Amino acid sequence: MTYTLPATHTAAAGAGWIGRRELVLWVVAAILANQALHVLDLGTPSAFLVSVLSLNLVYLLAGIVIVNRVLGSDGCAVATRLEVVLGIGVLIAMAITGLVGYRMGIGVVSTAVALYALGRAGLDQSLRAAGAVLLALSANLVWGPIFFQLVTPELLAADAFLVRGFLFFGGADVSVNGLTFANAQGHQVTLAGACSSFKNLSMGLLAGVAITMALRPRFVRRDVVAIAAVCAIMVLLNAARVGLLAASEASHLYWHDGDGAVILAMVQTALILALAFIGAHWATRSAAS
Amino acid sequence: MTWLVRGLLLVLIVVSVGTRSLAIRQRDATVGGFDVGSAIRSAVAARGYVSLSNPVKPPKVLSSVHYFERPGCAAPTLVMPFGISIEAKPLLHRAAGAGYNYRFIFLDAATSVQSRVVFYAEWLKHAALGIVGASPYLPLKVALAVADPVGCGTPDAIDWREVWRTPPASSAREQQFASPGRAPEG
Repeated sequence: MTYTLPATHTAAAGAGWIGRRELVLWVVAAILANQALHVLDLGTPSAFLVSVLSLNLVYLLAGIVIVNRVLGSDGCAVATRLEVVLGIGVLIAMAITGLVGYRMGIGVVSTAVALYALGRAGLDQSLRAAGAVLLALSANLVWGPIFFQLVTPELLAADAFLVRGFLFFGGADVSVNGLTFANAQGHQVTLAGACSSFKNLSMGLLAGVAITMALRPRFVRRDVVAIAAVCAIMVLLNAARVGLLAASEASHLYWHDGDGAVILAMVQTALILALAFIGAHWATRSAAS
Repeated sequence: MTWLVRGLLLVLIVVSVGTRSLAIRQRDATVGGFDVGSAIRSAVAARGYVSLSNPVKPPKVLSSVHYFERPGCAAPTLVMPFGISIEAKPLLHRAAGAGYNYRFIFLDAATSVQSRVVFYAEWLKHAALGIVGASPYLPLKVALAVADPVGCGTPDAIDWREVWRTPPASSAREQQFASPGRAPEG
């Protein structure tokens, strides 16, 4: 099949090798398929089922929004030769980064694709929206963790300040020494990085961007406020969680190792997605009025 | 031409998924049997130092700290494995208390202050070398924090790099070391 160029597409025309939408779909399929290898357990059918059922809903939503936005883009646009070459280059880069087997390679490649989608003049809005979600995804995969590596001590200090606030207002009898919280019974918790409230910032960002781009293909100014609020809530929720872990040994066992851990994860995810939805609606209404 | 492009794109997707799948499986097989605790004990024993028991028991995170005696030292030396993104000193300080100097070791890098950037660069370097089989180390993101008693003279004579060269010994997985999941740190 060869694409016939509509009159509006002649300037950027390639040789009619492939539609732009289809090319982007191939690239997105490669990114999502490679990412799936890191979150799905292909060992046994039961392990696979468990990994599917415990998939991170925010990742899943982001993937759906990206594919949906690409499918909703201009079906008549033809990829230029340069774009075809770039698309092939992206897949070659994906194969090369696959040799290392860490997801940061996917993040780097996704960033390049997202920046192209966002930066190239003349692309339709739906592809830009897909690019925005892809950029937020790559922030979660690679740039967020790198940023965290650079400023871990500062972020942990801020985290400890927040946890201290929760413990104070919750009336818990816990003393604080730097990053370590200790109660009178000798139970101690140290903020070391793995459970830092700020580590999930990029997840809040991804949730906010994905929901916004699911509702409409462009940002409005107030989206910044709405997405920042989602991220702030994410941080506060985790600080409250660490406060619960620090309160007592029994509380730690329940909220970290027991049913409480599942409850917290579900509540956190539901709340973040709901807040992102409400925030996007609020921003839409504000922009219209 | 359209079908040629499609065919090429399909082949490249299959190749990328195939290489990544293989790399993940190989890494799991390589580090799947690695037990950092055993590796530390072996390195300590190879120098003739005497290991001591840890009063903290699992699932507490400080149960991973290894204690050993060195001649001429009034207090034991402590070694704690930790994921390279973790802030290790406050944790080890809980076990060691006052009167200790700290060192942080990861593969070929050793620093007196924990440097995530240095360790991350070190990991990246060996991950890249590992593609062509040129790294002598296991692809782990686990570093060591060592607490030496003050006034103990020269540091221990252990070549800690042996820890990452240690062949697999148990069924623990890399992720367990990289982010101590059952630790009381939340």
